[in-house]
Amino acid sequence: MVYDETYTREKEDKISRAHPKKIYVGVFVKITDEGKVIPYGLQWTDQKIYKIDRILDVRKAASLKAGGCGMRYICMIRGRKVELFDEEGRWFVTPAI
Amino acid sequence: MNTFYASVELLYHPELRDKPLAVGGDPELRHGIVLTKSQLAKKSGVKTGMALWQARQLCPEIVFIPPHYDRYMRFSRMAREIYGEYTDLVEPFGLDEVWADVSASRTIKGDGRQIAEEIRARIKRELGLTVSIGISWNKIFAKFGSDYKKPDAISEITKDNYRDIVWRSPVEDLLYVGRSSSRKLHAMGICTIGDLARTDPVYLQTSMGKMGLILYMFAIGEDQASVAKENTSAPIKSIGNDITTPRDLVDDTDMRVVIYMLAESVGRRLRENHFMASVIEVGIRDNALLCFTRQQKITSPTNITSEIAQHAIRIFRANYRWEKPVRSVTVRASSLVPDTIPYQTNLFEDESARQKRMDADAAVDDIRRRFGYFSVQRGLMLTDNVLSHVDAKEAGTIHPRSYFV
Repeated sequence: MVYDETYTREKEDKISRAHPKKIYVGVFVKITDEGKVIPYGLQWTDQKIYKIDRILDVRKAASLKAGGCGMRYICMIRGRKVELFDEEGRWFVTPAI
Repeated sequence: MNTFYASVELLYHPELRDKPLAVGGDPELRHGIVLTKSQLAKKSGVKTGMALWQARQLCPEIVFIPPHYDRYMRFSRMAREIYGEYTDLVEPFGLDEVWADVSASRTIKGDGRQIAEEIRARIKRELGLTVSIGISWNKIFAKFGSDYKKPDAISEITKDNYRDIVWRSPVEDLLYVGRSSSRKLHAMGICTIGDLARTDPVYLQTSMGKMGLILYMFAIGEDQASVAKENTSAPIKSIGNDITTPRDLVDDTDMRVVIYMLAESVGRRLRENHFMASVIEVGIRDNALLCFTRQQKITSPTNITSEIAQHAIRIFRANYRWEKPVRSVTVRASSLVPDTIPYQTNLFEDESARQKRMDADAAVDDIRRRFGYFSVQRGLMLTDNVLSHVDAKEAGTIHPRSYFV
């Protein structure tokens, strides 16, 4: 019994390190006159607001890491690449690439 | 799409990816069968349609996840959007399979294999799912090809290689050779699709009827059916809902609750599609799994929930004596007519009261559309919270359509 428990905990730890959870965030978006959606800032879970400096790529994609799928924006935030996903109106990030 | 429901669930549960998984109804509510299993569960012998307890016996560490149809619909829609970029001839076969005729796109998008390769890669990247694709000159061999190699594979069945690939395969691999056809074919000494193709079609017709000829045409690759255009669906012939109840039904009160609940769904779907029904059918399955259906023509066509329910209850009372508790119930409305059709009013029925009931139904539909199914309920439903707490309309309206419609 004890053995089993440690085993699963270790295993789960390993899995959660390999597949970090998806983190839902608040996002500031600009909608252009053509209806294009451009995110320009996001509010992290600690309520701090980060500016998106640049968007490198926009396309539909699935995130196998976080588990989800939708429009993917690869953003530069303070010199780090962040994958930001718009999944049916809810936005989430996968931890830095 | 390979192990569609299971793959979608795995995408959303990365932590379960190295565990065997099956998507199946909630065992608490007794919808206890495996709908789809993941590749890992398949290896331990879990099969679609198995009861959950059987699956657990074969594979003790299996994880069961109740189905999320809204998610599957979304993925199915997204996949169809991708196919739609290659052709407008996309014919769905269930939620996760389609036929697409890309002959006309060849000049722009490249030949069949190139398009298939592109679609496979895009679905993997954009949806995170794997697909297997069959390419051929007819629908039957294309379907065969998609089942030939799995997962994440493309098989091409051409006029040069079909004798080697298709004809050597067991006859059960052909679409529409099910348990009973395969038994008949085996009795005739036909074991492979090639055997079937080499048999005299007249002999097949005399022993199996029309189906024999159809299967023969399938086997020689002469199926001429074309791929239907996007968004053209066959006209609806009947609307019905069935439910396996959370507990066995034992008396008329239980039955009233369940029939009203199913009638709510049937009525709402009739109204949504602007139909009225002139035949009501009731199907009963008792706890020994014995089942029967009875139907009755009604005097004036209806889409009023309470009328459907009352007719269904009358049919049930006339045909069942409670020899055994009941396990599942179906209510179906058929002989549909458009709801604008003029009909003969009945001298002995109060038409203004009917109109009022119609208005009431419309109001309830509107409330439910805005605030959800359980926002407004019949008083009857409060007699049994367990039985009535199922939204029959949302819970079960997905069926792959037959090839022959």
